[in-house]
Amino acid sequence: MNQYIQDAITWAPFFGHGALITIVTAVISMALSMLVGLLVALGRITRGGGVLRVMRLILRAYVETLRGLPLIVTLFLIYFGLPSVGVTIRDPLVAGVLGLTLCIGAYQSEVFRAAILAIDKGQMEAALAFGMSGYRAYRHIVLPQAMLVAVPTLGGYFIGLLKDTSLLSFISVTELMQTANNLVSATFRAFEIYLMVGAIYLVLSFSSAWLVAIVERRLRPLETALTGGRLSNIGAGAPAPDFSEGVGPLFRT
Amino acid sequence: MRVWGLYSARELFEHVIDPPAAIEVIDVWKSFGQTPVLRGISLQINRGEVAAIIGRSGSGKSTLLRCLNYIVEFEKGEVRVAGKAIARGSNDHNSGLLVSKSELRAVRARMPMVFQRFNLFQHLTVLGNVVEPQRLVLGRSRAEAEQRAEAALARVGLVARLRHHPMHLSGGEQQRVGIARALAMDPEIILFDEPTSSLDPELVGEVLDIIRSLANDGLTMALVTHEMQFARQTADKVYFVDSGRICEEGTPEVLFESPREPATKAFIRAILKG
Repeated sequence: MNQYIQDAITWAPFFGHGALITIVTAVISMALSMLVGLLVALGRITRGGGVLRVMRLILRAYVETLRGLPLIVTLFLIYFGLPSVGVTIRDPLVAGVLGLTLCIGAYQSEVFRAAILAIDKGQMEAALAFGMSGYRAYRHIVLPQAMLVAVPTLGGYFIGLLKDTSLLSFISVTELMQTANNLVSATFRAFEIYLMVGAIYLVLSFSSAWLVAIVERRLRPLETALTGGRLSNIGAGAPAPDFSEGVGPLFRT
Repeated sequence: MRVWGLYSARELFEHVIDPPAAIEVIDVWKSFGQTPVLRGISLQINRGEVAAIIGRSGSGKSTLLRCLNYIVEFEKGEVRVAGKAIARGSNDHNSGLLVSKSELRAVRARMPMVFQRFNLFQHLTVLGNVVEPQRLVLGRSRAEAEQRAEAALARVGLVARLRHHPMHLSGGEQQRVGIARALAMDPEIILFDEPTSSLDPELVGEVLDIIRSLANDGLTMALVTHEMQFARQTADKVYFVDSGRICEEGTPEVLFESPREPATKAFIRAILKG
């Protein structure tokens, strides 16, 4: 036991470094995938034909493809596959963040889309009736509310993302998992080391879950007010709101 | 007289000599898909006038109101605001808008709407709801917008609730915020879409009192309502809408006491019975 504590202290700096890479990777990928997710969601709720229609088709194909591929396949395609068509990403960390962003972004676009569609149409109508442009109405009225609705769900995705970063060990990013692999190769003490790595992942997950729960508790009443509890009804197949001719048809006269 | 910012000098001169109606609707037709909703509606609301629009649910009243600020497009007809043609019938090939988009927004800003379901901005406080449209649309500074918002909220008796969120207010309070939000825009006319229809009965009075006091101040209003007693007392002119047409129009006395049309008679009788 004493020996184990001694070893743990020796390994600690390596684990610290690995955990740091894991956290930084997760945070950066989360930020980027939220950006991707929001833009894709906005693109997909546009109306109108021509270029917009083509764009919607492409975005839909992106979302369905990236959600359908195992993350590890996406990562291998980017890191090992792309060089054979002349696109080489030398830094495995960059390739990893790119893969995570594309994959999680596809999932998050659906979260944002559902959140935007869940906002009461009366909000958009009021904004337009008071003279706001469509852009202003989205920017200042609809999106801030949609973000509040999306945050608790996104928190859940962050915890998943934190664990998914372990797959980056397969493309030689020295995050937490890869650190453990390296230590095991050097010491053959697999059980102790993977146990320790597991404990670190648990600490990271639990503390994120705790933060998410706090945020969620604060936002939940607001979320219900914003959506009238409709969010749960919105699935992937929900029709997009049609503001092209105002929002009249849905209103009782 | 306020200037809408849409006039040439000559138009301005003509308007001073012969002030145009605040809103004119000329033979407007509108359908949703195959279902006709408005079938040749014409009406004229003059400055300082309170026009009540009554009729059964589904008769097209709210749609008509949304044609006035062109939130809803229509297939045929024309809408004029302060003598200026704003929009006419449109189809898939032609937009019906006769002014630029920014001019339309300027017009909308001066004829704000009060909604049946309040439609307060849920992420903003009471003060924010009244301040933000002024800042975003009229470009007022925060200080000026807040000053006007507080005046408008005082008018509806809600200065004590500035920092509350709409979800923590009663329905009557929410609707009063809705009215303050409209008042703060310095409106030429306010469009009311069944402002008391989603309120608990005991809260209807407080909202009607405010609308009545605005009417007494000479504010122009278009009021879609089911409150017949209120329409009778407050309106200068009443329009009875039946299946997409204006079946009958006139002063409240005439329309409520000696209606000509059978449909109006039946409606009034049904209301009085209820």
